[in-house]
Amino acid sequence: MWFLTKVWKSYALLLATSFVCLGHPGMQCLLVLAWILYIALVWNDAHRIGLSFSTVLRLTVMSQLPGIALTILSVYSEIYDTLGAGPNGLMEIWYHPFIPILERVPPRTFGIWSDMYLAVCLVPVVIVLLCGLCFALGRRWRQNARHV
Amino acid sequence: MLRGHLSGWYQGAPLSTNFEIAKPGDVILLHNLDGAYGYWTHTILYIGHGQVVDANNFARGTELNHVDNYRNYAEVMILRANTTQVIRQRAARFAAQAVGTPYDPLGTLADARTAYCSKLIWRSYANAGVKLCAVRDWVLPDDLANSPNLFCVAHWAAVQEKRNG
Repeated sequence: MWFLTKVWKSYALLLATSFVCLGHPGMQCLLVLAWILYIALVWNDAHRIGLSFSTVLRLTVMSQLPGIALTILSVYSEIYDTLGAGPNGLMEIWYHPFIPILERVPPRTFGIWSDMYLAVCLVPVVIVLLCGLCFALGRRWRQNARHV
Repeated sequence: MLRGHLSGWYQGAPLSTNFEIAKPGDVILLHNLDGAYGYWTHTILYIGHGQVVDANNFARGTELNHVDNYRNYAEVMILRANTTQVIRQRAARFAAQAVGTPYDPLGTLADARTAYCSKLIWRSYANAGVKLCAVRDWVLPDDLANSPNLFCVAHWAAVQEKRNG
């Protein structure tokens, strides 16, 4: 539970500070990088206290549930033209710290979908994959260090 | 806003507007009830041949639409820039080239990578050399309505706005 609490609390702080820094994309990018570094430290703690890979991966997926739920609602709302603009708006607010980075994606559309929107939809998936990758790399590095 | 009507909400029959009088570069302001950020809740730029450029959807980004899709509003006003037709067409071309630009209502005027409705129109005219209103971080449809460089060409409003719930 401490893992989820740390991830959610730090993300709430990232959201708040990112809004304070609106209009300063450089600062917003730095905030996102600082958050990613913090999360890496949290994963390191998880490994240090002996949490298994599958547990950390499960917790990471759970930590992304708000974003995943908003993404599903938003895509559903667009496809079936229902629920109004609410899910889109909430999803954009939730992932706004990442927008200064994701807006660098070339401005194109795939079918009806804006590429930045598709990139935002992929953020929770990328975070889970990165989490798993970092945890696995960290574990491999520690094992190698023990053998040396 | 707390009731989820950020962009206002429409009630009633479509307005009997006559968009045929619009010319490329005309700014179309749209109003619905309960908008959270001003009287005018949306704005689009007419680019000719019945087409408008609309930056109002996170999923689809900036897109082309037919102007007839914008009758479901309580009030519609067409504004024309107080400049030459060449400049207006230049602004229309800039907007047309912006189709596909990602939508971000929180992006400031300085951020050229994203757009929202009134920012797209402001940038289109700024690119053509016309400042529709003072430079600040965000521009709202109401700022365009109050622009000294735009004048009203046509104005339609529902006879009576009713409000439910």
